Amino acid sequence: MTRVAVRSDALLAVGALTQELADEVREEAARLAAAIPGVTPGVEDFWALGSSGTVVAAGAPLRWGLLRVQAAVIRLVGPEGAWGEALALDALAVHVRAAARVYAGVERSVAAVVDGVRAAADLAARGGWLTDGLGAVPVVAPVSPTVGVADLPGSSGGGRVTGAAGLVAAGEGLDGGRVRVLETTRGDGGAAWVVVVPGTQQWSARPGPNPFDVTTNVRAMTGDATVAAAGVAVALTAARAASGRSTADDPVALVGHSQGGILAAALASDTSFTTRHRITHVLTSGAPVALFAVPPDVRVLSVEHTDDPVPGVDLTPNPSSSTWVTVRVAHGAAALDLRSHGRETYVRTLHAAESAPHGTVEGLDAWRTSAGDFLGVPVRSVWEYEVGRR
Amino acid sequence: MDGEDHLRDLSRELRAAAARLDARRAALGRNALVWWQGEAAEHYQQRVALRVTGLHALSREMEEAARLADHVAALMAALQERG
Repeated sequence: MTRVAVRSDALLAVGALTQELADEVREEAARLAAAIPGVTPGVEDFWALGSSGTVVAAGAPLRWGLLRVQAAVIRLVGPEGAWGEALALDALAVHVRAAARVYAGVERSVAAVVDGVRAAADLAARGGWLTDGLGAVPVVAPVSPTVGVADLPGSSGGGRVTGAAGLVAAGEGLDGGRVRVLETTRGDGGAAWVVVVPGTQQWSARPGPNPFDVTTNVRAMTGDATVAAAGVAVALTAARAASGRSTADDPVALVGHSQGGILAAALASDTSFTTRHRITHVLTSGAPVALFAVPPDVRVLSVEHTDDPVPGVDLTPNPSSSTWVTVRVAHGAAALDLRSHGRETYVRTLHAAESAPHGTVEGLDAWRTSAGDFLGVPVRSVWEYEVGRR
Repeated sequence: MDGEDHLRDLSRELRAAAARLDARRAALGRNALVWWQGEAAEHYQQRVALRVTGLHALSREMEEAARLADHVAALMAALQERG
């Protein structure tokens, strides 16, 4: 799990760089100290360095000036100057290296947890549990959408989804292995695609025909390819083909709650998927997604309730970057409460965040603005596919 | 080398040291570690800010000392000329 060790590695690198800076500043002090001897043998000796004896008779101003130069340089190389700075940088380097050691410990724990989950999954697989099975393949079939453009959950009048809350709400009613694909009309008339990936629909550890189950939860978390993710990819490809308006440049947003968020992040970090679909946005709610290497050109919005235990199962905070915005909200009591995991509660949280004055929730406005191909534009079609495991 | 030359050399050395410190200060400032959050990270950021300020002050003092050395060298030259 080298990916887990990114933070301690970064801290160690900064610690080494800081130590290097300290050494360089110390060398600077030594270099300056070596330059002083022309002055430091004593002002009287220094005067004797003048090319003529007249300097000796120059009087007080020169004598005072030489003393000031001498004092200034001595101070600059001493504990109040470069040596002092070098020592302070030494201390800073020690501080960073100590933090790196702490992080390394946490990362080892996380890696152990994830590896433990994988080991347990592998053990269970011997009994036919928690495995997609050798040769398991997704079976994807188009089905009649349970909702249309006019009654799409989360949309306002005119079949437009106006915010991130609406995108999460668009997953309402997905069951039986269904994946929903929305086709929106961009400002320039072209198409954009929103894939709404469902959360866990089957809670049995033994894999059944519906791949949105616990097996997929575990396998996706441990970085394995899953039938469910493959099924989502097939569903998007099928919707684009059925539309007849799709072009290779169409932007695609992946939206998922809980397991749907895990699959969305897994797909966004899977190059075999992103070479076929131009993923520009990912929206996850209540999903542990920190360990997925989503490319930096994908704008990610992750919403997490602090009392929801699910987003924290990877024991790792989401990457903090200009393209990955995590909105963490203290939803309920301080104690963990699975009730705060519900998709509806996340819809309410996002709705409240988006209703707040601009700038209240850091990064949210920028994400919404960047998602203009999906938000506030007409939804042209709703497609649904049933994904099964065979 | 006479006293004036020593002072000129010292001035050049001080200015060069100040420029190198500025470059190091910039390198330190780039270690933003933006993903690092929490109390320890804030402590780190505060300490980096302190060091950046310290290095900035040090390089300014070096430039000031270089100017002083130039002035004294000029004074020495003038006095020598007057003989």
